[in-house]
Amino acid sequence: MRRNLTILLWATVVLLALLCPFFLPRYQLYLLAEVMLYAIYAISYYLLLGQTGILSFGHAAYFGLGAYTTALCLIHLPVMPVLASIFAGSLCGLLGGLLVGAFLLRLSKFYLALGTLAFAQLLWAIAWTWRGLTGGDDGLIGWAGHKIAFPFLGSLGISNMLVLYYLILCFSVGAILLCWFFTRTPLGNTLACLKSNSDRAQFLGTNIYQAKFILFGYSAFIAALSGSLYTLLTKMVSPKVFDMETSFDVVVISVIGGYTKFAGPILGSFLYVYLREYLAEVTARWQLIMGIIFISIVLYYPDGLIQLFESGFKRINRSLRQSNA
Amino acid sequence: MHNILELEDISKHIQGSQIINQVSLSVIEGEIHALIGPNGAGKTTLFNLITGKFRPSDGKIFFQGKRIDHASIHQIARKGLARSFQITNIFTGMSVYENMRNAIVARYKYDLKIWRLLKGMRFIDETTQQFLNRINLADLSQEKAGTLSYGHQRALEMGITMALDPQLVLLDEPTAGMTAEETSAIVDLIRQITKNKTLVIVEHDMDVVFKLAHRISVLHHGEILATGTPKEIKQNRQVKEAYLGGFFE
Repeated sequence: MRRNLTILLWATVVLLALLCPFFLPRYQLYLLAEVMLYAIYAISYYLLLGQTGILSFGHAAYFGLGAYTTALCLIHLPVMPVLASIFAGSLCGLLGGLLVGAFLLRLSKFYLALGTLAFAQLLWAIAWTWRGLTGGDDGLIGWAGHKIAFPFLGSLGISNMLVLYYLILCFSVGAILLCWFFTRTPLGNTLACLKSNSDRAQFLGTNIYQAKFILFGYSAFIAALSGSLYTLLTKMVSPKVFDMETSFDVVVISVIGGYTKFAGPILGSFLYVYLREYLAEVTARWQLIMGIIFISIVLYYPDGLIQLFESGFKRINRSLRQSNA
Repeated sequence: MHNILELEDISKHIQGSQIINQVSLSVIEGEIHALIGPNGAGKTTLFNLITGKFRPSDGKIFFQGKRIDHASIHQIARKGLARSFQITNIFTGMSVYENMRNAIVARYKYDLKIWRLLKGMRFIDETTQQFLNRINLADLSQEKAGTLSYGHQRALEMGITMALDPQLVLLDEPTAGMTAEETSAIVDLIRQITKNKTLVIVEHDMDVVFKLAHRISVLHHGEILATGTPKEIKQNRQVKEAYLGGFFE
Protein backbone atom coordinates (compact mmCIF):
# COMPACT_ATOMS: atom_id res chain seq x y z
CA MET A 1 0.00 0.00 0.00
CA ARG A 2 2.60 2.45 1.11
CA ARG A 3 4.82 1.48 -1.78
CA ASN A 4 2.03 2.07 -4.28
CA LEU A 5 1.34 5.45 -2.79
CA THR A 6 5.00 6.42 -3.10
CA ILE A 7 5.11 5.38 -6.74
CA LEU A 8 1.90 7.29 -7.39
CA LEU A 9 3.36 10.40 -5.81
CA TRP A 10 6.54 10.26 -7.87
CA ALA A 11 4.59 9.55 -11.05
CA THR A 12 2.47 12.63 -10.38
CA VAL A 13 5.54 14.79 -9.91
CA VAL A 14 7.08 13.59 -13.18
CA LEU A 15 3.77 13.98 -15.03
CA LEU A 16 3.37 17.54 -13.73
CA ALA A 17 6.93 18.31 -14.79
CA LEU A 18 6.15 16.94 -18.27
CA LEU A 19 3.04 19.12 -18.56
CA CYS A 20 4.52 22.33 -17.14
CA PRO A 21 5.65 23.76 -20.52
CA PHE A 22 2.00 23.83 -21.63
CA PHE A 23 0.88 26.32 -19.05
CA LEU A 24 3.96 28.01 -17.57
CA PRO A 25 5.83 30.97 -19.05
CA ARG A 26 9.41 30.56 -20.29
CA TYR A 27 10.89 32.24 -17.27
CA GLN A 28 9.23 29.74 -14.94
CA LEU A 29 10.55 26.90 -17.06
CA TYR A 30 14.03 28.27 -16.58
CA LEU A 31 13.54 28.22 -12.82
CA LEU A 32 12.21 24.67 -12.91
CA ALA A 33 15.15 23.58 -15.03
CA GLU A 34 17.38 25.08 -12.37
CA VAL A 35 15.47 23.16 -9.69
CA MET A 36 16.06 19.89 -11.53
CA LEU A 37 19.71 20.70 -12.03
CA TYR A 38 20.15 21.42 -8.36
CA ALA A 39 18.22 18.26 -7.55
CA ILE A 40 20.79 16.18 -9.42
CA TYR A 41 23.58 18.05 -7.68
CA ALA A 42 22.00 17.61 -4.25
CA ILE A 43 21.17 13.93 -4.76
CA SER A 44 24.80 13.26 -5.60
CA TYR A 45 25.65 14.93 -2.31
CA TYR A 46 23.06 12.82 -0.52
CA LEU A 47 25.07 9.72 -1.46
CA LEU A 48 27.95 11.13 0.57
CA LEU A 49 26.20 12.78 3.48
CA GLY A 50 22.87 11.01 3.79
CA GLN A 51 23.86 7.51 2.80
CA THR A 52 27.41 7.28 4.12
CA GLY A 53 27.67 10.13 6.60
CA ILE A 54 30.63 11.78 4.88
CA LEU A 55 30.69 15.56 5.16
CA SER A 56 32.16 17.37 2.18
CA PHE A 57 32.68 21.10 1.80
CA GLY A 58 34.03 20.88 -1.71
CA HIS A 59 31.31 19.35 -3.81
CA ALA A 60 31.58 22.30 -6.22
CA ALA A 61 34.83 20.75 -7.48
CA TYR A 62 32.90 18.09 -9.42
CA PHE A 63 30.12 20.47 -10.43
CA GLY A 64 32.74 22.83 -11.83
CA LEU A 65 34.72 20.08 -13.53
CA GLY A 66 31.57 19.01 -15.35
CA ALA A 67 30.68 22.59 -16.28
CA TYR A 68 34.13 23.55 -17.61
CA THR A 69 34.78 20.28 -19.41
CA THR A 70 31.46 20.47 -21.24
CA ALA A 71 32.03 24.14 -22.08
CA LEU A 72 35.52 23.44 -23.44
CA CYS A 73 34.24 20.52 -25.52
CA LEU A 74 31.46 22.67 -26.98
CA ILE A 75 33.87 25.47 -27.85
CA HIS A 76 36.88 23.57 -29.14
CA LEU A 77 35.28 20.43 -30.53
CA PRO A 78 32.28 21.67 -32.50
CA VAL A 79 31.94 18.32 -34.26
CA MET A 80 31.43 16.54 -30.97
CA PRO A 81 27.72 15.96 -30.31
CA VAL A 82 26.28 17.91 -27.38
CA LEU A 83 25.30 14.74 -25.55
CA ALA A 84 28.86 13.46 -25.84
CA SER A 85 30.09 16.73 -24.35
CA ILE A 86 27.78 16.24 -21.40
CA PHE A 87 29.13 12.74 -20.98
CA ALA A 88 32.71 13.99 -21.20
CA GLY A 89 31.95 16.48 -18.42
CA SER A 90 30.57 13.75 -16.18
CA LEU A 91 33.54 11.54 -16.89
CA CYS A 92 35.95 14.29 -15.96
CA GLY A 93 34.06 14.74 -12.69
CA LEU A 94 34.32 11.01 -12.07
CA LEU A 95 38.10 11.17 -12.45
CA GLY A 96 38.22 14.16 -10.11
CA GLY A 97 36.15 12.25 -7.56
CA LEU A 98 38.42 9.22 -7.73
CA LEU A 99 41.46 11.45 -7.33
CA VAL A 100 40.00 13.16 -4.27
CA GLY A 101 38.95 9.77 -2.92
CA ALA A 102 42.41 8.30 -3.37
CA PHE A 103 43.96 11.13 -1.39
CA LEU A 104 41.39 11.77 1.30
CA LEU A 105 39.37 8.69 2.13
CA ARG A 106 41.55 7.57 4.99
CA LEU A 107 41.07 10.88 6.78
CA SER A 108 38.54 11.16 9.55
CA LYS A 109 35.43 13.32 9.39
CA PHE A 110 36.50 16.95 9.66
CA TYR A 111 39.90 16.56 8.07
CA LEU A 112 38.18 14.97 5.11
CA ALA A 113 35.70 17.86 4.90
CA LEU A 114 38.54 20.39 4.93
CA GLY A 115 40.48 18.35 2.40
CA THR A 116 37.57 18.46 -0.05
CA LEU A 117 37.28 22.21 0.50
CA ALA A 118 40.98 22.61 -0.28
CA PHE A 119 40.62 20.60 -3.49
CA ALA A 120 37.68 22.71 -4.67
CA GLN A 121 39.54 25.92 -3.85
CA LEU A 122 42.54 24.67 -5.79
CA LEU A 123 40.39 24.16 -8.88
CA TRP A 124 38.82 27.57 -8.31
CA ALA A 125 42.27 29.16 -8.28
CA ILE A 126 43.20 27.34 -11.48
CA ALA A 127 40.01 28.54 -13.15
CA TRP A 128 40.87 32.10 -12.15
CA THR A 129 44.46 32.13 -13.24
CA TRP A 130 44.74 29.87 -16.27
CA ARG A 131 43.28 32.47 -18.57
CA GLY A 132 44.38 30.73 -21.76
CA LEU A 133 42.16 27.75 -21.03
CA THR A 134 39.38 29.03 -18.81
CA GLY A 135 39.15 32.68 -19.74
CA GLY A 136 39.87 33.68 -16.14
CA ASP A 137 37.19 35.77 -14.51
CA ASP A 138 35.63 36.52 -17.91
CA GLY A 139 34.63 32.90 -18.03
CA LEU A 140 33.66 31.05 -21.18
CA ILE A 141 30.80 31.66 -23.61
CA GLY A 142 29.90 30.87 -27.17
CA TRP A 143 27.88 27.69 -27.58
CA ALA A 144 24.34 29.03 -27.77
CA GLY A 145 24.20 28.06 -31.44
CA HIS A 146 24.74 24.32 -30.86
CA LYS A 147 22.13 21.88 -31.98
CA ILE A 148 21.22 18.42 -30.78
CA ALA A 149 20.10 15.82 -33.29
CA PHE A 150 17.07 13.90 -32.08
CA PRO A 151 15.56 10.89 -33.75
CA PHE A 152 12.22 11.81 -35.44
CA LEU A 153 12.41 15.44 -34.30
CA GLY A 154 15.44 16.46 -36.30
CA SER A 155 18.10 18.78 -34.87
CA LEU A 156 16.97 21.34 -32.34
CA GLY A 157 18.95 24.26 -30.94
CA ILE A 158 19.95 24.36 -27.28
CA SER A 159 18.92 28.01 -27.15
CA ASN A 160 15.36 26.73 -27.32
CA MET A 161 14.08 26.71 -23.72
CA LEU A 162 11.60 23.94 -24.43
CA VAL A 163 14.33 21.64 -25.75
CA LEU A 164 16.55 22.40 -22.78
CA TYR A 165 13.73 21.88 -20.31
CA TYR A 166 12.90 18.41 -21.57
CA LEU A 167 16.56 17.49 -21.92
CA ILE A 168 17.25 18.44 -18.31
CA LEU A 169 14.07 16.70 -17.18
CA CYS A 170 15.20 13.47 -18.86
CA PHE A 171 18.65 13.67 -17.33
CA SER A 172 17.38 14.49 -13.87
CA VAL A 173 14.88 11.62 -13.85
CA GLY A 174 17.65 9.32 -15.08
CA ALA A 175 20.19 10.55 -12.56
CA ILE A 176 17.76 10.35 -9.66
CA LEU A 177 16.76 6.80 -10.60
CA LEU A 178 20.42 5.88 -10.90
CA CYS A 179 21.11 7.23 -7.41
CA TRP A 180 18.03 5.55 -5.99
CA PHE A 181 19.22 2.26 -7.44
CA PHE A 182 22.70 2.88 -6.04
CA THR A 183 21.43 3.30 -2.49
CA ARG A 184 19.68 -0.05 -2.73
CA THR A 185 22.54 -2.11 -4.10
CA PRO A 186 24.71 -4.20 -1.76
CA LEU A 187 27.31 -1.43 -1.92
CA GLY A 188 24.68 1.13 -0.93
CA ASN A 189 23.87 -1.07 2.03
CA THR A 190 27.56 -1.33 2.90
CA LEU A 191 27.81 2.47 2.86
CA ALA A 192 24.84 2.65 5.24
CA CYS A 193 26.80 0.26 7.46
CA LEU A 194 29.76 2.62 7.39
CA LYS A 195 27.50 5.41 8.57
CA SER A 196 26.07 3.26 11.34
CA ASN A 197 29.29 1.61 12.55
CA SER A 198 32.30 1.61 10.25
CA ASP A 199 34.45 -0.18 12.80
CA ARG A 200 32.14 -3.19 12.80
CA ALA A 201 31.86 -3.12 9.02
CA GLN A 202 35.63 -3.55 8.80
CA PHE A 203 35.54 -6.50 11.16
CA LEU A 204 32.96 -8.11 8.88
CA GLY A 205 35.67 -8.14 6.23
CA THR A 206 34.52 -5.14 4.22
CA ASN A 207 37.22 -3.07 2.58
CA ILE A 208 35.73 0.26 3.61
CA TYR A 209 38.33 2.25 1.68
CA GLN A 210 37.43 0.57 -1.56
CA ALA A 211 33.74 1.16 -0.81
CA LYS A 212 34.37 4.87 -0.22
CA PHE A 213 36.55 5.10 -3.31
CA ILE A 214 33.73 3.85 -5.53
CA LEU A 215 31.31 6.16 -3.73
CA PHE A 216 33.49 9.22 -4.38
CA GLY A 217 33.64 8.40 -8.07
CA TYR A 218 29.91 7.75 -8.38
CA SER A 219 28.88 10.84 -6.48
CA ALA A 220 31.29 13.03 -8.45
CA PHE A 221 30.03 11.58 -11.72
CA ILE A 222 26.46 12.61 -10.91
CA ALA A 223 27.51 16.01 -9.55
CA ALA A 224 29.51 16.70 -12.71
CA LEU A 225 26.47 15.79 -14.79
CA SER A 226 24.56 18.60 -13.11
CA GLY A 227 27.48 20.94 -13.83
CA SER A 228 27.42 19.96 -17.50
CA LEU A 229 23.70 20.67 -17.74
CA TYR A 230 24.30 23.99 -15.99
CA THR A 231 26.64 24.91 -18.84
CA LEU A 232 23.88 24.26 -21.35
CA LEU A 233 21.27 26.13 -19.35
CA THR A 234 23.18 29.30 -18.51
CA LYS A 235 25.27 29.43 -21.73
CA MET A 236 28.24 30.72 -19.76
CA VAL A 237 30.72 29.35 -17.26
CA SER A 238 32.81 31.35 -14.82
CA PRO A 239 35.01 30.43 -11.82
CA LYS A 240 31.86 30.87 -9.73
CA VAL A 241 31.03 27.21 -10.42
CA PHE A 242 34.06 26.21 -8.33
CA ASP A 243 33.63 28.64 -5.47
CA MET A 244 32.67 28.03 -1.87
CA GLU A 245 29.18 29.37 -2.40
CA THR A 246 28.49 26.60 -4.89
CA SER A 247 29.87 24.08 -2.40
CA PHE A 248 27.73 25.40 0.41
CA ASP A 249 24.60 25.73 -1.76
CA VAL A 250 24.35 21.97 -1.72
CA VAL A 251 24.83 21.84 2.05
CA VAL A 252 22.03 24.39 2.51
CA ILE A 253 19.75 22.50 0.13
CA SER A 254 20.43 19.25 1.98
CA VAL A 255 19.65 20.79 5.35
CA ILE A 256 16.49 22.60 4.20
CA GLY A 257 15.05 19.54 2.49
CA GLY A 258 16.53 17.01 4.89
CA TYR A 259 19.61 14.92 4.22
CA THR A 260 18.51 11.73 5.93
CA LYS A 261 15.79 10.95 3.41
CA PHE A 262 16.25 10.35 -0.28
CA ALA A 263 13.50 12.80 -1.27
CA GLY A 264 14.89 15.50 1.04
CA PRO A 265 17.44 17.03 -1.34
CA ILE A 266 14.87 17.11 -4.16
CA LEU A 267 12.41 19.05 -2.03
CA GLY A 268 15.32 21.18 -0.81
CA SER A 269 16.29 22.14 -4.36
CA PHE A 270 12.77 23.26 -5.12
CA LEU A 271 12.51 25.35 -1.98
CA TYR A 272 15.98 26.80 -2.38
CA VAL A 273 15.60 27.97 -5.97
CA TYR A 274 12.19 29.53 -5.42
CA LEU A 275 13.07 31.07 -2.08
CA ARG A 276 16.18 32.62 -3.56
CA GLU A 277 14.27 33.90 -6.55
CA TYR A 278 11.45 35.56 -4.64
CA LEU A 279 13.56 36.77 -1.73
CA ALA A 280 15.87 38.46 -4.20
CA GLU A 281 12.89 40.31 -5.61
CA VAL A 282 12.09 41.69 -2.18
CA THR A 283 15.56 42.55 -1.01
CA ALA A 284 19.11 42.47 -2.30
CA ARG A 285 20.16 41.06 1.06
CA TRP A 286 18.27 37.82 0.50
CA GLN A 287 21.08 35.75 2.02
CA LEU A 288 20.22 37.26 5.38
CA ILE A 289 16.69 35.89 5.25
CA MET A 290 17.92 32.59 3.82
CA GLY A 291 20.31 32.37 6.76
CA ILE A 292 17.51 32.85 9.25
CA ILE A 293 15.43 30.18 7.51
CA PHE A 294 18.45 27.87 7.51
CA ILE A 295 19.03 28.31 11.24
CA SER A 296 15.35 27.86 12.09
CA ILE A 297 15.23 24.61 10.17
CA VAL A 298 18.36 23.34 11.90
CA LEU A 299 16.77 24.19 15.26
CA TYR A 300 13.17 23.10 14.73
CA TYR A 301 13.29 20.56 11.89
CA PRO A 302 16.69 18.90 12.13
CA ASP A 303 15.51 16.24 9.68
CA GLY A 304 14.53 18.91 7.17
CA LEU A 305 11.17 19.96 5.78
CA ILE A 306 10.68 16.53 4.23
CA GLN A 307 9.71 15.60 7.78
CA LEU A 308 6.44 17.54 7.37
CA PHE A 309 5.71 15.74 4.12
CA GLU A 310 6.46 12.37 5.66
CA SER A 311 4.09 12.84 8.57
CA GLY A 312 1.32 14.00 6.22
CA PHE A 313 2.08 11.06 3.96
CA LYS A 314 1.79 8.63 6.86
CA ARG A 315 -1.53 10.10 7.89
CA ILE A 316 -2.97 9.64 4.39
CA ASN A 317 -1.61 6.12 4.28
CA ARG A 318 -3.19 5.25 7.62
CA SER A 319 -6.60 6.62 6.70
CA LEU A 320 -6.45 4.77 3.38
CA ARG A 321 -5.71 1.52 5.16
CA GLN A 322 -8.54 2.10 7.60
CA SER A 323 -11.05 2.79 4.85
CA ASN A 324 -9.90 -0.40 3.15
CA ALA A 325 -10.36 -2.48 6.27
CA MET B 1 46.39 -31.37 15.21
CA HIS B 2 48.18 -28.19 14.30
CA ASN B 3 48.35 -24.63 15.50
CA ILE B 4 45.81 -22.41 13.80
CA LEU B 5 47.13 -19.27 15.47
CA GLU B 6 50.66 -18.55 16.62
CA LEU B 7 51.98 -15.48 18.39
CA GLU B 8 55.75 -15.16 18.47
CA ASP B 9 57.24 -12.71 20.95
CA ILE B 10 54.52 -10.13 20.45
CA SER B 11 55.12 -6.79 22.16
CA LYS B 12 53.14 -3.61 22.12
CA HIS B 13 54.01 -0.33 23.70
CA ILE B 14 51.74 2.64 23.55
CA GLN B 15 53.25 6.03 24.36
CA GLY B 16 56.16 4.55 26.24
CA SER B 17 54.30 2.09 28.41
CA GLN B 18 54.59 -1.60 27.76
CA ILE B 19 51.09 -3.05 27.39
CA ILE B 20 52.08 -6.44 25.99
CA ASN B 21 55.50 -7.89 26.66
CA GLN B 22 56.92 -10.68 24.49
CA VAL B 23 53.83 -12.82 24.48
CA SER B 24 54.06 -16.17 22.74
CA LEU B 25 50.91 -18.16 22.43
CA SER B 26 49.67 -20.95 20.24
CA VAL B 27 46.10 -21.97 19.67
CA ILE B 28 45.49 -25.53 18.52
CA GLU B 29 42.91 -26.12 15.82
CA GLY B 30 39.60 -27.22 17.31
CA GLU B 31 40.25 -26.21 20.90
CA ILE B 32 38.51 -23.71 23.13
CA HIS B 33 41.27 -21.60 24.57
CA ALA B 34 40.45 -19.23 27.42
CA LEU B 35 42.45 -16.12 28.12
CA ILE B 36 42.14 -14.96 31.71
CA GLY B 37 43.78 -12.32 33.82
CA PRO B 38 42.98 -9.33 35.99
CA ASN B 39 41.65 -6.07 34.57
CA GLY B 40 44.28 -4.20 32.60
CA ALA B 41 46.33 -7.33 31.96
CA GLY B 42 46.16 -6.64 28.21
CA LYS B 43 43.61 -9.21 27.07
CA THR B 44 41.62 -6.88 24.83
CA THR B 45 44.84 -5.31 23.53
CA LEU B 46 46.01 -8.77 22.55
CA PHE B 47 42.75 -9.28 20.63
CA ASN B 48 43.24 -5.93 18.94
CA LEU B 49 46.74 -6.98 17.89
CA ILE B 50 45.57 -10.31 16.50
CA THR B 51 42.68 -8.79 14.53
CA GLY B 52 44.67 -5.95 13.01
CA LYS B 53 43.17 -3.08 14.98
CA PHE B 54 46.64 -2.38 16.41
CA ARG B 55 49.99 -3.18 14.88
CA PRO B 56 52.43 -5.01 17.16
CA SER B 57 55.57 -3.06 18.03
CA ASP B 58 57.53 -6.27 17.78
CA GLY B 59 57.01 -9.95 17.01
CA LYS B 60 55.10 -12.04 14.52
CA ILE B 61 51.57 -13.41 14.26
CA PHE B 62 50.72 -16.40 12.10
CA PHE B 63 47.21 -17.48 11.19
CA GLN B 64 47.02 -20.84 9.42
CA GLY B 65 50.71 -20.60 8.75
CA LYS B 66 50.58 -17.15 7.12
CA ARG B 67 51.80 -13.91 8.68
CA ILE B 68 49.02 -11.49 9.47
CA ASP B 69 50.69 -8.93 11.71
CA HIS B 70 50.77 -6.36 8.91
CA ALA B 71 47.46 -7.16 7.28
CA SER B 72 44.54 -4.76 7.69
CA ILE B 73 41.39 -5.47 9.68
CA HIS B 74 39.25 -6.48 6.73
CA GLN B 75 41.94 -8.69 5.22
CA ILE B 76 42.30 -10.62 8.45
CA ALA B 77 38.53 -10.95 8.77
CA ARG B 78 38.37 -12.29 5.20
CA LYS B 79 40.95 -14.95 6.03
CA GLY B 80 38.48 -16.45 8.49
CA LEU B 81 39.38 -14.85 11.79
CA ALA B 82 36.38 -13.16 13.39
CA ARG B 83 35.80 -11.52 16.73
CA SER B 84 33.05 -10.32 18.99
CA PHE B 85 33.42 -7.32 21.24
CA GLN B 86 33.44 -6.64 24.94
CA ILE B 87 31.28 -3.57 24.43
CA THR B 88 28.40 -4.56 22.20
CA ASN B 89 29.30 -3.54 18.67
CA ILE B 90 26.35 -3.87 16.31
CA PHE B 91 24.54 -1.64 13.80
CA THR B 92 22.17 -0.14 16.35
CA GLY B 93 20.12 1.95 13.89
CA MET B 94 19.34 -1.05 11.70
CA SER B 95 16.91 -3.90 12.27
CA VAL B 96 18.02 -7.26 13.65
CA TYR B 97 17.43 -8.73 10.22
CA GLU B 98 19.59 -6.09 8.53
CA ASN B 99 22.36 -6.63 11.06
CA MET B 100 22.51 -10.30 10.26
CA ARG B 101 22.19 -9.65 6.53
CA ASN B 102 25.18 -7.29 6.64
CA ALA B 103 27.31 -10.15 7.91
CA ILE B 104 26.00 -12.56 5.27
CA VAL B 105 26.56 -10.03 2.47
CA ALA B 106 30.14 -9.53 3.63
CA ARG B 107 30.76 -13.24 4.05
CA TYR B 108 29.80 -14.01 0.45
CA LYS B 109 31.72 -10.97 -0.79
CA TYR B 110 28.70 -9.18 -2.21
CA ASP B 111 29.46 -6.06 -0.18
CA LEU B 112 30.87 -3.97 -3.04
CA LYS B 113 28.48 -5.08 -5.81
CA ILE B 114 26.64 -2.26 -7.54
CA TRP B 115 24.98 -3.95 -10.50
CA ARG B 116 21.93 -5.31 -8.76
CA LEU B 117 19.51 -4.60 -5.94
CA LEU B 118 20.17 -6.17 -2.56
CA LYS B 119 16.49 -6.78 -2.04
CA GLY B 120 15.34 -9.97 -3.66
CA MET B 121 18.68 -11.79 -3.50
CA ARG B 122 17.03 -15.03 -2.38
CA PHE B 123 20.18 -16.78 -1.33
CA ILE B 124 21.18 -13.92 0.97
CA ASP B 125 17.70 -13.70 2.50
CA GLU B 126 17.50 -17.44 3.14
CA THR B 127 20.91 -17.64 4.77
CA THR B 128 20.12 -14.61 6.92
CA GLN B 129 16.92 -16.23 8.11
CA GLN B 130 18.75 -19.46 8.92
CA PHE B 131 21.21 -17.68 11.16
CA LEU B 132 18.48 -15.68 12.89
CA ASN B 133 16.79 -18.97 13.69
CA ARG B 134 20.00 -20.40 15.08
CA ILE B 135 20.42 -17.54 17.57
CA ASN B 136 16.69 -17.56 18.39
CA LEU B 137 16.08 -13.99 17.26
CA ALA B 138 13.82 -14.71 14.29
CA ASP B 139 10.79 -13.34 16.15
CA LEU B 140 12.54 -10.03 16.71
CA SER B 141 13.92 -9.68 13.19
CA GLN B 142 12.11 -6.42 12.44
CA GLU B 143 13.04 -4.72 15.73
CA LYS B 144 15.76 -2.05 15.75
CA ALA B 145 18.91 -3.67 17.13
CA GLY B 146 19.47 -0.72 19.47
CA THR B 147 16.15 -1.32 21.24
CA LEU B 148 16.82 -4.98 22.08
CA SER B 149 17.48 -6.10 25.63
CA TYR B 150 21.13 -6.45 26.58
CA GLY B 151 21.07 -10.23 26.46
CA HIS B 152 19.53 -10.22 23.00
CA GLN B 153 22.08 -7.67 21.79
CA ARG B 154 24.87 -9.94 22.99
CA ALA B 155 23.30 -12.87 21.18
CA LEU B 156 23.04 -10.78 18.01
CA GLU B 157 26.66 -9.71 18.39
CA MET B 158 27.67 -13.36 18.64
CA GLY B 159 25.41 -14.27 15.72
CA ILE B 160 26.95 -11.64 13.44
CA THR B 161 30.40 -12.93 14.27
CA MET B 162 29.46 -16.56 13.66
CA ALA B 163 27.56 -15.76 10.46
CA LEU B 164 30.94 -14.99 8.87
CA ASP B 165 31.68 -18.72 9.17
CA PRO B 166 35.15 -18.13 10.62
CA GLN B 167 37.74 -20.81 11.30
CA LEU B 168 38.88 -19.02 14.42
CA VAL B 169 36.68 -16.91 16.68
CA LEU B 170 37.82 -14.50 19.34
CA LEU B 171 35.13 -13.78 21.91
CA ASP B 172 35.77 -10.84 24.19
CA GLU B 173 33.87 -11.29 27.45
CA PRO B 174 30.67 -12.70 25.98
CA THR B 175 28.95 -12.81 29.37
CA ALA B 176 30.03 -9.40 30.71
CA GLY B 177 27.26 -7.63 32.56
CA MET B 178 24.79 -10.48 32.29
CA THR B 179 22.49 -12.00 34.88
CA ALA B 180 23.09 -15.63 35.87
CA GLU B 181 20.17 -16.67 33.72
CA GLU B 182 21.38 -14.78 30.66
CA THR B 183 24.86 -16.16 31.21
CA SER B 184 23.77 -19.76 31.06
CA ALA B 185 21.70 -19.01 27.96
CA ILE B 186 24.66 -17.42 26.19
CA VAL B 187 26.98 -20.26 27.22
CA ASP B 188 24.54 -22.72 25.68
CA LEU B 189 24.43 -20.56 22.57
CA ILE B 190 28.22 -20.44 22.35
CA ARG B 191 28.41 -24.22 22.66
CA GLN B 192 25.77 -24.69 20.02
CA ILE B 193 26.93 -22.24 17.35
CA THR B 194 30.67 -22.72 17.72
CA LYS B 195 30.69 -26.46 17.23
CA ASN B 196 33.81 -27.55 15.32
CA LYS B 197 35.29 -24.05 15.54
CA THR B 198 38.44 -22.95 17.23
CA LEU B 199 37.69 -20.45 19.94
CA VAL B 200 39.71 -18.00 21.98
CA ILE B 201 37.63 -16.55 24.74
CA VAL B 202 38.34 -13.80 27.23
CA GLU B 203 36.21 -14.26 30.28
CA HIS B 204 36.02 -13.16 33.88
CA ASP B 205 33.42 -15.65 34.99
CA MET B 206 35.56 -18.58 36.19
CA ASP B 207 32.62 -20.97 36.15
CA VAL B 208 32.20 -20.27 32.45
CA VAL B 209 35.92 -20.60 31.82
CA PHE B 210 36.32 -23.94 33.55
CA LYS B 211 33.13 -25.26 32.00
CA LEU B 212 34.07 -24.37 28.40
CA ALA B 213 37.82 -24.28 28.01
CA HIS B 214 40.16 -27.05 26.94
CA ARG B 215 43.20 -24.95 27.68
CA ILE B 216 43.72 -21.74 29.60
CA SER B 217 46.35 -19.03 29.34
CA VAL B 218 46.84 -16.55 32.14
CA LEU B 219 47.87 -13.03 31.23
CA HIS B 220 49.32 -10.76 33.90
CA HIS B 221 50.87 -7.33 33.36
CA GLY B 222 51.13 -8.00 29.65
CA GLU B 223 52.94 -11.32 30.04
CA ILE B 224 51.79 -14.92 29.86
CA LEU B 225 52.17 -16.48 33.32
CA ALA B 226 51.10 -19.96 32.37
CA THR B 227 49.30 -22.01 29.75
CA GLY B 228 47.73 -25.37 30.46
CA THR B 229 44.66 -27.48 31.01
CA PRO B 230 42.11 -26.19 33.54
CA LYS B 231 43.46 -28.69 36.04
CA GLU B 232 47.05 -27.55 35.61
CA ILE B 233 46.06 -23.91 35.90
CA LYS B 234 44.12 -24.54 39.09
CA GLN B 235 47.20 -26.07 40.66
CA ASN B 236 49.71 -23.53 39.37
CA ARG B 237 51.23 -21.68 42.29
CA GLN B 238 52.15 -18.51 40.39
CA VAL B 239 48.66 -18.18 38.98
CA LYS B 240 47.13 -18.59 42.39
CA GLU B 241 49.20 -15.77 43.78
CA ALA B 242 48.67 -13.42 40.90
CA TYR B 243 45.08 -13.93 40.04
CA LEU B 244 42.92 -16.77 41.13
CA GLY B 245 43.69 -16.09 44.78
CA GLY B 246 41.18 -17.77 47.00
CA PHE B 247 38.89 -18.85 44.20
CA PHE B 248 39.53 -22.57 44.64
CA GLU B 249 40.48 -22.69 48.30
